[in-house]
Amino acid sequence: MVEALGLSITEVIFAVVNFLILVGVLAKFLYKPFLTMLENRQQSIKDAFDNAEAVNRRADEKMANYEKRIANAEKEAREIIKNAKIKADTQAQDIIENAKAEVAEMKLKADRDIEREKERAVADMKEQIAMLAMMAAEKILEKDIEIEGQEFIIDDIIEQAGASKWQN
Amino acid sequence: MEALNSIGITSPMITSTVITIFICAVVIIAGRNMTMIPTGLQNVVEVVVEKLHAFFVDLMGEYAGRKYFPIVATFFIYILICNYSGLIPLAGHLPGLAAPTSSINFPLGLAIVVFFAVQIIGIRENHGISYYKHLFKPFAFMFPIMLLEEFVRPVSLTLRLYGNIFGEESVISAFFGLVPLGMPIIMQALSVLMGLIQSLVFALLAAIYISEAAEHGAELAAEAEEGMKQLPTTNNL
Repeated sequence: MVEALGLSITEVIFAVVNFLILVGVLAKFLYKPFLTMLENRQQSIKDAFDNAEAVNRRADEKMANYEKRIANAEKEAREIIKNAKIKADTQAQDIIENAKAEVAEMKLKADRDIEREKERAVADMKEQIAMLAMMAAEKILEKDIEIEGQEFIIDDIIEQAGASKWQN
Repeated sequence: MEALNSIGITSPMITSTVITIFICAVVIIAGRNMTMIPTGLQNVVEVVVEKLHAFFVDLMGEYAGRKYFPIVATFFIYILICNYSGLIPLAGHLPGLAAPTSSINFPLGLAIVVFFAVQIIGIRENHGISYYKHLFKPFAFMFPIMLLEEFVRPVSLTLRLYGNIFGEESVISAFFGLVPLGMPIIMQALSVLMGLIQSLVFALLAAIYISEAAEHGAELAAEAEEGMKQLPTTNNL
């Protein structure tokens, strides 16, 4: 009956042995290493994603920090510029006031110098006029006037010349 | 060939041996220099293993799927390549070349493996012969029917696989005799689908039988996992 059905115990045993050998080989060389590799890869991808997320989070934190610092720096810069401007304005004002004071002082000094020069010029002019007056008097009197004992006449002429008539 | 036949070595035996050696060689070559970034053959084998693993874990559950994946996946791969070996031109006519699954002995051998695997896994997962309690459920008087079902399983597995592949090869052979050009190609294209379906059905049924046998173990594993999850909560209290 077994032969009539085409059954062969040898073939059945051969099939069983072949299959069991194949299961053993595949379990050792296929399923175990490949499933381990897949799990490792899955884990490494998960780790990579976790790391990337952590790096992104750190980067975001740093970015926020930098932005905050930049905002602070801008604020500080604006403050510095404002202070510098105020300081510069104050200094400029001081310089102008100093310059004005100096100019005023210089003007005062110049006025004094002019006055002094004017007085000196007037004195020189008086002397010249005195000389001219004496020369004129000599010419008129046709004789030399003795200087000695006649100074009061000269002084009188000078006084007259130095009064209002010879001014300006 | 006649000399080999005289000592009991048949064409399906030779073909199945060649297939076994071929699968082992491919697997060893693919896994020889595995890299984190796969290329070539490693890539192909990884895809196959990953898809099969996901399929069987989904079908059998996390516990049985992970534990008994090697045996059910090997059923699928081995039967698929055995079925496809019948698509090689002149298979069944050339000496030493015949699809092993077109002979009743190879499906029977594999079905016997399934039968014993189910018994061994059932006994191991239930820690003894308490596994056979399921034969008395739902009612004790159904024991003969349940027992019969246990023995019918390998018979149905054998006849389904053998009948389909033998029938398909017979049809191709008949069409080849009638219309040598054109028609056999269409039939062979259908055979590609048929070979895949039959290997999948065999592996699927084997997976279902094994997962049923491992059900008790899966329940224990689930309970243990639940206990491990609750442990930190209890400690916190």
